[in-house]
Order: sequence, then C-alpha cells, then structure tokens
Amino acid sequence: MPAFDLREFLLLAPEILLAIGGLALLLAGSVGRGVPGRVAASLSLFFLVATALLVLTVEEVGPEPRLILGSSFVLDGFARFFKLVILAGTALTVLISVRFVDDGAYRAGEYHALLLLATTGMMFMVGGFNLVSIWIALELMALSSYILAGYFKRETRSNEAALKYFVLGALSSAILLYGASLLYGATGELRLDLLAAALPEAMVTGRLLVPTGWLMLSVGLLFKVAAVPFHVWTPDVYVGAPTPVTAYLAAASKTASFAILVRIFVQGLPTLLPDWQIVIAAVASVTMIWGNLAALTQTNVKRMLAYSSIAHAGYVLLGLLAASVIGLWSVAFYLLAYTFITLGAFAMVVVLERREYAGEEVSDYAGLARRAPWLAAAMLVFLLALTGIPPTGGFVGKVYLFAAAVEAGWTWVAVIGVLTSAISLYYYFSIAVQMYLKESTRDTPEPLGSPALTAAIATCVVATLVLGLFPGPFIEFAQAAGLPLP
Amino acid sequence: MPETYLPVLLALAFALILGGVILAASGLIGRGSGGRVKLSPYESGEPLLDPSRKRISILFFLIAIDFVIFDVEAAFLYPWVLVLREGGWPLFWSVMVFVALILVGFVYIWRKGGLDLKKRFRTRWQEASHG
Repeated sequence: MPAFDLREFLLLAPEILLAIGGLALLLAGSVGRGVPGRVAASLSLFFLVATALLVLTVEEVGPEPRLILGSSFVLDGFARFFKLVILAGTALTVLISVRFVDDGAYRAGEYHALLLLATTGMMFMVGGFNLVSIWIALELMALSSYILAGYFKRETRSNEAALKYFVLGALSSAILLYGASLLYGATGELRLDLLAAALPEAMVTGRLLVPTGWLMLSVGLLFKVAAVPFHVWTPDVYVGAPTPVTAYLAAASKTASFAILVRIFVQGLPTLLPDWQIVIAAVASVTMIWGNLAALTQTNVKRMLAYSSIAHAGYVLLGLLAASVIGLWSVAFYLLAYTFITLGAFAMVVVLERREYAGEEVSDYAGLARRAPWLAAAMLVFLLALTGIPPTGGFVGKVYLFAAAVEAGWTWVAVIGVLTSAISLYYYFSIAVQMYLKESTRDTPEPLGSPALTAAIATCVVATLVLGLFPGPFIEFAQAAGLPLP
Repeated sequence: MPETYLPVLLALAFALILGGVILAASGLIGRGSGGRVKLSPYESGEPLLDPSRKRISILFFLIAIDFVIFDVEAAFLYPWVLVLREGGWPLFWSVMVFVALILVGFVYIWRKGGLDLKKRFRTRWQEASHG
C-alpha cells in the first residue's frame, strides 16, 4: 500500500474546506424549513472566498511540481491557475443565482451545497495526477451537475435536461474510464508521467490496446468539453437547465474539463503527439464550423449561447493543437476570459427571465438600450467579447490562440477559426440589433435586476474590459500556469 | 482426511436440530392462525400473480437507492478490516473520513424523513384523498 504522510492532507486544505462547506450547507438545508436563500448564498460566497485565500496561501507552488498523497494529486502553477478561475466562476454563479433561488419555490440550502460540491470536484480534477483520481473527481463534478440541471423539478424542460445530461454524461464517463483501463492494461501505469514514460514500449507490445485506449479517452474528454461530434447533449441541457446552472456548466464545468483534457494529453500522452494532433485538428475545425453555423438559426438566446459555447470549445482546442508554450498559456488565458464573458452573458439572460423560462427569445431584447442603457451596454461588451472584437478579453485571447496555431504550422485550422468568427458576428449582433435598433412592444419583459446580479454583471464587464485593455499581468499569470512540454 | 469435514457435519446437525426445535416449539406453544394470505408463496410482499404494469410507489425506489448507498459502504469496510494493521493510522483515518461522509448522507436522509415510511405513506394517502 502506498505510504504517504498524513501532513500532506494539510496541502489539500482548500478542497477540504470547500467540501466541508458543501456538507454543512447540505445539513443546514435539511433542518426544518431549510436555509433562507440569501443566507445560503452568503455562506457559499464566504466558503468560496476562504478557499481561494487558502489556495493562494497554503498551496505553495515551487518551480517543480509537487506530487502529494501517493502522487494522486499535484500542486503546480497549472492546477493553481485553474482552481482560482473555477472559484471565481463559481462565486459569480452564486451571485447570479440569488434571485433565481428566491423566486422559485425550490430549496436554497441544497442548491448551494451541490454547487460547492461540484466545485470541490473541479478543484480535485485540475489537481489530479492519476487517471483514477481525475476520474473520481470528474464524477463528483458530473453527479452534482446532473442534479443541478434538474433543479426545477416540476418543469418538464428541466427534467428533460437532467435526464439527457445524466444518460449522455454517464455514457461518456464510461467511455473515458474504459479508455483509461485499456491504457492501464497496456502500460500498467495510472500516473500521468509514468504512463508517458511507459507508452513507447507499450505501443510495440500492446498493439491495438494503446490506440484504442487513447481514442476512447479522447472521446470521453471531448464529450465533456462539448466538441463536435460529441456535442449533441449541449443545446438541450443548456436550454432546459435553470439559467444560473447553465452559466455554471458553460463556464466552470467547461474550464475544468479543458484543464484535464490539456493535462492528460500533454503530460500523459506526449508520445502520441503527432497522432492526437490530427484528431484535435479535425475536431477543432468541425466544432468551430458546426457550432457557429448552428447558432445562426437560433432564436432562443440560451440555445444560441449553447452553440456559441460549442464554437468556443473549438477555438480553445487550437491552443492544445499547437502544443507549444504559447499555445498552452493562451488556452489558460482564453478560459479565464471566457469564464467572465460567458457568465456575464448568461447573467443578462437571468435579468430578462420571467416565470422560470420566459424572456429568453432574441426578440425579448427589443429596445433594451432605451429602457436600460447600462444593461444594454454591458450586453454589448459581452457580445463584442464573444465575437472577438477589441477592446475585450475575447479579442486578446483569440489572437493568441490563432497565433499559436499558425506558429505551430496549423494555418488552415486557424483560417477556419477566423472565418467562423466572422460568421459568429451575425448571430451575436442580432441581439445588439434588437437592443439598439428595435422598439420594445407591450409584451417585452422588463429587465429585473437585483444588487447581487448587478454586482455580477459589473464584475464581468470590468474583467472583460481589463483583460482586453491591460492583458499583461494576466498573461504572466497564465504563463505561470504552463505545463512542461515534451 | 474425513475428520476435517467434522465442522461441516456439526453445522449441518446444528441446523437440523435448531430447525426442528423451532418448528416443534411453535407447533406446541403457538396459536394456530392464518389463512389464504399466509399460505400463499412469499414473493417479497407482492402477490405472486399480478398485472406487471401497475403503479408502484416511488418510495420503494428511494428505499432501494438508500440501501445501495449504505450497502456499498459496507462492501468497502470488509477489505479495510483485513488490511487495517498493515495500513496503520493513515488507513484508519482515511476510512473514518469516508464513514463520516456517509454519515452526513445518512443524517440528511433521516432529517428529510426518508426513513419514516409510515409518515410518508400517510401524507401520500391524505393528499390523494383530499384531491
């Protein structure tokens, strides 16, 4: 049995604190009439901030990655960066959720408990250094997300979303696990670095085990990041789930899934680099093309943003495709920017939403600039950022992703990225046209904000603009998140 | 060699004696009661011949899920006991954390009334009868 020092558990203090927070909210929610929504939201914000402070103080990151607990987990700049991004995304999700939990007759304690537990899973995911620990953390995230997607339990659409998410998520988890088991069968290793070292020999002795294993592993991971052709669950789940949950899935869940995709490919499968580059190039191109083309015809904003998140998965894959230093930190930077942009856009959907689902159509944005000029301006910033137009973080992120792909010799994929970005302008700006050029009618829903929602939108706007205008310190922050390249 | 099977023989004999004593005791002391239902074959509380597509309370499903959770916990505890000495304190505390997590789940089910079947059935009936 692997011997390990009990004191190493102290290095997991952030994750442990967050898990305790989730469990405490769960128990508090089960007593009597449960916890009032605002109390639960304040408590979960407190736990998230405390966890972020612990990540900054306890998890000392040296120049060398530090393996802990029998090398199940690793402390490095990469894990630390993504932990902080995920915590920020979750905190914003909590702010967006306040009104939604108040409005619905659904219990607040369990909602925030599930949110915190899913985030705990994500933090373990990005720090995982062993295929089994990564998979278990992934399941913790996924199981909590399935329940969150079905949180409107009396709404058919929410039930449908939860069921589709559960069935397809369980399938992809099974494929991922089976791929990992084949790789383990071929090499006898689960630790990513030892797996990488054992692969060259296993490719000779294991014959078809290695290609089958890594292909299944890739399919499972690409399912999780919603890349075409494994994206079919995304639109239905994003539309049916309660909007704050959709925002959480699109931002935090996608970021965590990308983190393990990058870590497994770069640290676990560097020997297969030429092979997986071809697969990633193909997946990235069809993802960018299909995501953007399908978004063109959508009239429901949540569905449009779902296809937009598929398209953005394609852009992020460009950085992994390059497999270079600049490629990897541009993935990190883009996911940081994307977290704020997409959470802001979904927060705007929440502002206009009524009676759980109404107010989601593009036409509901008609005349918003006249009725709520600041909100319309905020939405415009998010739309510019999603398209990739300066002066926003979305522009800076895309520039580096495309540059990384071109530098690594994948010019044709980068060209597809640029062309599809131009296409995306059409559907993003159909919302801007509604806001600025159309008149509102009597049926147009009034925007309904709350202090928490305003705070979330303001944070996202500021972050999006700062990342676009002064990207320097954040690029350095992302560069510290680099992984050692083969 | 045959003497190694003596424990098996003893167990068999004990089972026979115990069964005989119980049958005899209930025949002598017990009151004769019962009827058609008691004499019908036992099929986990369900009638033996019955339409297969009938509505069953969701509570059976919830109980089954609760059972699976605690059953899996028990399955982890058996191998733990066997290697406890080699693993030492780290292994002991790891499993204690695991048990504590399951305990949280147990308290949750308990507080939410998941174990109070009678109460849940009754509220269900009341809801049904009051429309």
